[in-house]
Amino acid sequence: MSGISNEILFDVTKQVFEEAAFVFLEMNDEIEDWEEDMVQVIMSFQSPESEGRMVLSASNEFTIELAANMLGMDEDDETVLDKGKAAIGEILNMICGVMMERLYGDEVICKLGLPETQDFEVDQFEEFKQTAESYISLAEEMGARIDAAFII
Amino acid sequence: MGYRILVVDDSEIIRSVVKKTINMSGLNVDVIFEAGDGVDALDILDTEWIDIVFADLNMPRMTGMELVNSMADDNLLDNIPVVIISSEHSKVRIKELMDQGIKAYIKKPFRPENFKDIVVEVLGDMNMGGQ
Repeated sequence: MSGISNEILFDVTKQVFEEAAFVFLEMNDEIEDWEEDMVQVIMSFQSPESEGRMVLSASNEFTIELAANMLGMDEDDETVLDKGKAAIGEILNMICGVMMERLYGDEVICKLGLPETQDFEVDQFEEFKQTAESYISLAEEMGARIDAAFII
Repeated sequence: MGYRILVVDDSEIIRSVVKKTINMSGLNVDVIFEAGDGVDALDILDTEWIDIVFADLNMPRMTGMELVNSMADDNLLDNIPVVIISSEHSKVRIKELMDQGIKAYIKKPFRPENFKDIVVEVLGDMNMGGQ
């Protein structure tokens, strides 16, 4: 048993977005359909007990806002327009690290893969949602939707 | 005269975030150099005076620990402290890295005070800025 729960996934995801990017998330109570221009980032992990993946899904527009926040720049700045995917990849990298410590403690070594960003595919998204041990949908202050999944 | 810092990470956005965070820390910084991996870092270390290196672990061509080992084999570089920045939070892993020669370790996500505390601890507090 990993000990994962939606509450832990929410706590860790919220903490990392706040500390790394000053993005404040709440649980998304009114889930709307995905927009067309979405991105998905996937990262594998291996703990002494199990191996699995974590997934974040968000709009490209939100990832640019995320990059701007992380860099302390305006989201209209041309230099941040191509950094959205890298930004959400780094955020997932941090979430995985904090999650491994939360679930398995800091006395064991957990191996983290590299974040892989890809275009959003509805079929794959549904598969993640159905197979995830924990799955949450979040909303940031301006309403952008961010989904997080923990899959073993 | 402030600190001369080298940030080594294959992620451009993390290099930029680390630079921004160091600049927010209140440290008196002269210049922050950037390198995308250990090979580029050694090129900079060959030509520039550097007080402290902040490096990622996993990078192409030369990892953070390969950089530490290369610096340890060079009489001109072996006294420059290397601090690893990583998402790995295991105490066991951090102890392994400390035993292999790193000076300190910063876990992601990081805050400005993490950099300030470590630079002051490793290099002393004579260069603190007046911010």
